[in-house]
Amino acid sequence: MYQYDAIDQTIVDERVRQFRDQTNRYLRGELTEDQYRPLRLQNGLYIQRFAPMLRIAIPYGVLSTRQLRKLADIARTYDRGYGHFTTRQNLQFNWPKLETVPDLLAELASVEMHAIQTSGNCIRNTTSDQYAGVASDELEDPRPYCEIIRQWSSLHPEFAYLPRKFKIAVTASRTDRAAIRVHDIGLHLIENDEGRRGFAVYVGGGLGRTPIIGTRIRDFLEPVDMLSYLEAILRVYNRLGRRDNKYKARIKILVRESGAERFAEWVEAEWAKIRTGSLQLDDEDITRVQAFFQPPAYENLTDSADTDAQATADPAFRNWLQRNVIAHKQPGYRIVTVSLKDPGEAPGDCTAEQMERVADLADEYGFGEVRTTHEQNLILPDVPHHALHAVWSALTELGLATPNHGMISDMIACPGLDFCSLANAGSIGVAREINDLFSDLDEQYDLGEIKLKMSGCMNGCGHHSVGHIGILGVDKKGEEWYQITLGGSAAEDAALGQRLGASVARDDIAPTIRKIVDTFAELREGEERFFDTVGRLGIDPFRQAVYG
Amino acid sequence: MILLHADGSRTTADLRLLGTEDALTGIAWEAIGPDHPAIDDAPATVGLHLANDVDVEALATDPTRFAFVALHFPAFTDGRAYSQARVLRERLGYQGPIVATGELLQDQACYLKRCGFDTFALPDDEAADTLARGFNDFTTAYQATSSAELPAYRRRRAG
Repeated sequence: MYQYDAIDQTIVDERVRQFRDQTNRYLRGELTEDQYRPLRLQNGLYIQRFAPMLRIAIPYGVLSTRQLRKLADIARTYDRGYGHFTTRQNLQFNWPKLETVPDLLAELASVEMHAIQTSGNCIRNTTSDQYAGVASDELEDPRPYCEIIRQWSSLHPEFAYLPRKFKIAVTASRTDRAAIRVHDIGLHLIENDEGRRGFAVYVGGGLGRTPIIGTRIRDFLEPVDMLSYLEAILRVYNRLGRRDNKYKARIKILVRESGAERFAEWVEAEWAKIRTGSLQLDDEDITRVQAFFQPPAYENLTDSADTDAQATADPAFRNWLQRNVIAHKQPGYRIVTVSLKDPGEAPGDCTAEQMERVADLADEYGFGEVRTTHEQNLILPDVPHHALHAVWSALTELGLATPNHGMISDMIACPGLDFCSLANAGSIGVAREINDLFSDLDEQYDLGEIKLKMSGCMNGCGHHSVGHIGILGVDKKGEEWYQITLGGSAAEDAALGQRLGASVARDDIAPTIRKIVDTFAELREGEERFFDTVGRLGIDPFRQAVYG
Repeated sequence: MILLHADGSRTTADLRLLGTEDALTGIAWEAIGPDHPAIDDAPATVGLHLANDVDVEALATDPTRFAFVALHFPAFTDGRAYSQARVLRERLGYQGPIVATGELLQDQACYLKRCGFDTFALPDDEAADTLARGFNDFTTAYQATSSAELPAYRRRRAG
């Protein structure tokens, strides 16, 4: 993975010092609340319902075990012994004390980590495919491009005060696991007809209160032109994005109001003026970063007959293998999803002990690397096939082997009312109730892939608009109500869910989801996925079943 | 009013941004907008001030004719003038003073300098002291901007 040099370390250290000074000035009364707010947000610090919340950047979801152990350590020292992995592959701590945040950041800097631009109206953490570098279906490892973007976007002087937040995602596989079309910019590494590699560029996707699927504004962009093209998009947005209404300030509104074609013309015109400047990369700039992401020293392994025998003998192990383990680029290895979706826990939560034990496993059965996913799980990217049983046993003990990856109980949910001052909904409680109704794993397997995504408010942190089943918490006269959408997707078949009908009351939400899934089970043809049944029949049969 | 310069020095000046109806009085540090009726025969001592939604590339007037260009931050969270400053410096080759006006916090000082601002209009010495402290927040950066450094990826190759 990427290693800091003196430039990276200096920037992060100086940012910690700057933030310490900002916090001290605020505590001394030299900065007003209004002045301090944007400054702290640019460093990931929110003031929440009960305490500040600090969001830590995990660039494109890659963590070393040293970093993960440090996060565990911070969870114990500064928080209540756990953290929450987010849909931006980041980690949130919900209970740090404001005065101690500068020290916390200094600890992060000691392991090449930070909280820079994890919130605020600036370029956020660039996200990517959680299987980058190990996926059997990828064209090329997208992480070097993510790292180049990370550096370009960090403390960019021109783009620190944009109209609104700005999110970039990169993928290099046909299967889109990075949800690139619901990002402000999505880069999709492809091969063109001549066999050259470059990016298809999508702009103006986003979730929140006006969910929009991004539009392709360029079919092919040479990798050496990546930064100049990004800079051109950002400059157009910084100049022309709306600032009169925060709900219309995202780039998606600018793209929609101007029309994607016209927007693309502006970008191309700006790009033509900066393309050949110092932003133009050359092959050496790219290969130097690629050198950090070379494959580790894999052994020549073949699949183990013992593992296969263990799978035959133990159905629980077999279930886990089928659900949470996928193919690896390298023969004899597998990619393991560490489930943070224990039915009794809040989705994405992870205790300090779990973090440390996962780090141990990544050292013992891997190359010291762990990934975070936008679906709020962790990944052990390089597990030898012969070690799968040992890893499963260890994860089972830790409560991290729920064999539900891609199933209805592998749901995405924001922290909701329990933590967030914006939320209308107790997402965590609702998640538990739904899990109770689907406690039979065999039934979940029969149902196949169902992506359930839940947000506690319009801001859509839980990506509800692109859930196969989406749930949105709304407030009606102080009561929690829930709006349901069906047929959304954040993958290569990106689509926004359609609203099922009037929102349902708190007590009815879990039973309503049960009813929808039962209707699907009756109507599906063969092994059809939920998403495809909704696509084939539309939402009317489901509406009928729920509302009569 | 204090004008703080990027090297830390200061001038006391009465920076006046005139509206279209204001007459030129001939004082130093007077600036007029591109719509001012006297724009075409303003003396060389006069500056040009631009609202932050002006496209600096589409100006009918040549900014180099003016003593300085003033760009405005109606709130420190409105970052449009950063883009204007970079385009002025890096694309149009403007080398005269670019003055930042409006809400300026020390936390922006490095960004402002790197985008090409070299003069900062502040209400008093105390505000100037505060902003000047921010000049030293960062000693390095990833991006090449108006400060004409190379981006980090090129500096690494050189060194």
